[in-house]
Amino acid sequence: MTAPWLREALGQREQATLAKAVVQTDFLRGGPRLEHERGGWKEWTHFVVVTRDVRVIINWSFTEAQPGEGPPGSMVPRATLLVGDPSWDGDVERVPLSDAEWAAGRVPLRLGDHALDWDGTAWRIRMRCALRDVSVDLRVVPVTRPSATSRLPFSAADRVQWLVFPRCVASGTVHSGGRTHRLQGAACYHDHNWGRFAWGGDFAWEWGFAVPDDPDNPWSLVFSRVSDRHLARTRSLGLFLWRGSRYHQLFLESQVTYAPAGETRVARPLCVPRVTRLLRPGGALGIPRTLTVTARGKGDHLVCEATIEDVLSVVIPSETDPRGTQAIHECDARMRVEGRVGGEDVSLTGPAVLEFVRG
Amino acid sequence: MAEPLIDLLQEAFDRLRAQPIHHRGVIDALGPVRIALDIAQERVTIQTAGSRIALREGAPSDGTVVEVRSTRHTLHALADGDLHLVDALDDCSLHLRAPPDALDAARDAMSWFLHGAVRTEGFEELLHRLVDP
Repeated sequence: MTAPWLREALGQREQATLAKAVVQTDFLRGGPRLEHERGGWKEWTHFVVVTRDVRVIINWSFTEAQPGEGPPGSMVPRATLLVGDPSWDGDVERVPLSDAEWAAGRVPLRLGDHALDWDGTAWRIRMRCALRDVSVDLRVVPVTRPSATSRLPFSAADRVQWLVFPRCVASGTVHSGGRTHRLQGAACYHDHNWGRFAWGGDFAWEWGFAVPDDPDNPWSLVFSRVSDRHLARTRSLGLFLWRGSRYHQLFLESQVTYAPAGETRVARPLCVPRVTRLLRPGGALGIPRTLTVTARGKGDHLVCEATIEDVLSVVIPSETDPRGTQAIHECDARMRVEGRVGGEDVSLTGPAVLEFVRG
Repeated sequence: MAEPLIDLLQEAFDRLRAQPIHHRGVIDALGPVRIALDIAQERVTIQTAGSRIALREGAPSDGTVVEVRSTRHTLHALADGDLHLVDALDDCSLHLRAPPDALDAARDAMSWFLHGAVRTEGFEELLHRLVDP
């Protein structure tokens, strides 16, 4: 028996609204070649699937070429596919422009053997790693309306746009290391980001989402914090709560407190691209063991407590230091959320994925 | 049949030219130090020659030398993140012998090389060819 909220979200009327939202908001902003003066363009579209047995991280990214990477204004496309069941495998693959197809203003893209399409109701995702035994074939249906686009302050001049569909349902197959997982209605998160900034610049972001173990539970949430690279000055802090397919409440800045504690130590976490492990031999450093995010405002209160269980690192060469790197640490976690918002009790226990950028 | 190690290394340093800061960094860091590779009986010497990184078959006859003895699979496992450098030294799948200053120069040159490699197209495929012709 499907929960009332999900029945409504998957109903014809709400699906038409969600499809319209995808086409109107989730299209690619940049094409293969840009004409502008500033440089530093980045865009990526991201999906995370979470089930009891398997985690999948999917990312298609487009980075404006640095000197030596390509002509000025050209883009460097990369596809990332990482599967944890429970140990992580997968890769980040740089795809030649000659084997990539995408266009500004459209949702579909193909980077080598990695394709994303929109069939009018769902995203179709087909990916296959060239050098690892990892592939996915998924159909992802949105069941929450997207957030309004947020403008995250990476520096005084740089703003990155962030569009979130916090909860979708994914069906299909996930293959890794000889094992095939068949998914039906698995929880999935999707976001899309674009803007100008330099990797290695004076910023860090910390971000996460949580969905309930119980698919009948209508609550889902996302939080984000942007700070300077030393984590000393917070530039932006927000917590976004959805009930069913609808946006329920937004807490911003002084309404939110953010309290990391302890330290997560994982012996030799997966580091991709793999050669970058030699560049960051210390592994994942500076990852808290627990994170408590609380929100208060006008009779509302919410406490979100996450415990991190596993980490993998995506390492990105710095654009400001020829021997620098910045790491995006992707963390598996469990989150417990309790509170009362808009006159309704909120309770959620389930998987969460947190992301910590460290210089 | 596997490609000769010297050809793979030549292609790697040719590709590194796309990152001139890193290419220059390797040359400056290495200076007069020579790296003598003995990879399962394939012997290659890496040395600088003005603004070039020069490769030649065989062991160096003189100069300050960093001796590296290992196998292709160990080098691949190190670069692919499957093997930690300390573990490779500990289990003797990688042997290093050099005066401390020369070893430090080689480490610095390797750092420039790797930072250039991750910024350059095609290195992952090149690394794969080291063990899978």
